[in-house]
Amino acid sequence: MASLISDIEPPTTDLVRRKKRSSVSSAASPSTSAASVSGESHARWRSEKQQRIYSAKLIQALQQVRLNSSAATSSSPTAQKRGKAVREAADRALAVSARGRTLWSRAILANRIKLKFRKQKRPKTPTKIPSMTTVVNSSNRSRTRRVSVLRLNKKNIPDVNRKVRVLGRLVPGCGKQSVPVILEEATDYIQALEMQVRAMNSLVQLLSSYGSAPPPI
Amino acid sequence: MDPPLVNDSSFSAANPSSYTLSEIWPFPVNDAVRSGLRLAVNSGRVFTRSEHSGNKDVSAAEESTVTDLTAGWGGRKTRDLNSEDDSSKMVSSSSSGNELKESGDKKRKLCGSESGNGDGSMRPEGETSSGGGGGSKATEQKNKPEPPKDYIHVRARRGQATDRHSLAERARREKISEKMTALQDIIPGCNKIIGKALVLDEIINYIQSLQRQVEFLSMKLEVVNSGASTGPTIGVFPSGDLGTLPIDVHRTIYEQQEANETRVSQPEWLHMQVDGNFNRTT
Repeated sequence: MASLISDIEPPTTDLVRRKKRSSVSSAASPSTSAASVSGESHARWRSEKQQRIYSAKLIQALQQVRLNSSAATSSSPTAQKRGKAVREAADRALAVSARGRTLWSRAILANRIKLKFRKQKRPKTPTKIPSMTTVVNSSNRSRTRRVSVLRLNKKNIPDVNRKVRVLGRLVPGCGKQSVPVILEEATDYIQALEMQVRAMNSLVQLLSSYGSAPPPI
Repeated sequence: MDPPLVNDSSFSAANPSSYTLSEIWPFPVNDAVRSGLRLAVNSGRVFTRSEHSGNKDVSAAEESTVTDLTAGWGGRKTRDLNSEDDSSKMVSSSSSGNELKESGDKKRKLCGSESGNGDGSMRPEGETSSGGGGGSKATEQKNKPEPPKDYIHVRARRGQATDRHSLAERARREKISEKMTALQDIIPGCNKIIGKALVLDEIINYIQSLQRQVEFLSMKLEVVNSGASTGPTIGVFPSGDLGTLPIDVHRTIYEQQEANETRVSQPEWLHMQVDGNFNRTT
């Protein structure tokens, strides 16, 4: 089985990469840098290899989530966290497979570390039961990064800039960046999200079909 | 500036009334040398004037040479000014480019480090190239001026200003539009839309829909997870052997993807794959 996999892997990835490169070079783009920006990231998030890496990490994360939820049902602090566990695990797996080269991936990973850090820092203060509840509440509130949610409608910013700011709020970690940075991060983020959707789709189908059909005895 | 050619000893020895250029400098001269030489001679004259202050002949001769020198020097100066002016049209490293707004009608290549040599060759290039955008771009200065960049090679269009600020702005705008076109290529259905605002609307909608899809799929996965943990899959997914599962999962994922794309579903093949793994583990 493993040898079969390894046989399949090089030809497909080479073929895929060659196809991507030829399509990129033949595509008529107005400027070379635009093609390089979109083409290179396009090939990156569309390659089979990347999807393979991501689905492996996703499965590991899901295992952990299942173990956590089954082992200690009261360990998760709030109901929100339990509900969002899978989503956050998937996002983290995506951020890790981005290899830390993009702002949004670093922001996703940093969020988690900040949360853990704050949770560890708090117990140094005298820990009583009421303070534990306040710790939980404040950690939930402080988890969301302070993006300026000032109304963009009232300002007199020109239209395009306003929409770019909205876009920056959508992409994690780009709340206060400049316009070209937001656009570039959005490019990469969209491709990563597409890959995530594809991988999760196929995983759900696989697991549900596997679960529904009983194995032969 | 010390004249290296003459010194006080030679002057004091020679006849003071016969100071002409041809006597002192017996070699043939051309313009450039002559102007330089005139400077040297003038300083020599000035130097000797202090010695022979009472000599009227000398003063008369000196005056003639002095005027000659200033004329030569002035001519040289104006020549230098002309070349400097042209070079400042092309090189905007000097900050005094504001007066060039009116004169920025020719298309010129902007080089950072080259000085103005061969400006005659640049002009025909400017005439033949096609005219670009409107003059409104030249006067648009409402954005704050950006710090001058490090010698970007930019082609200024006809009728547009060539000062640093608008050039930097133009470079910035071009970068942004490049990224917008890259985004347009990614998002399906955005090629037909014209206008940055509408394209951005589409982008925002697309990202929101993708995020909603991820949310929905994560809920589905959670259901499958919790369903699988309580169902008969506990024996099927032994936690120790789960490392072997992902390999086949990947394979089936890819085949499934290609199957979806070619509109052929192979559920029984899937079961066969997974069952094969199951047989192997037990």
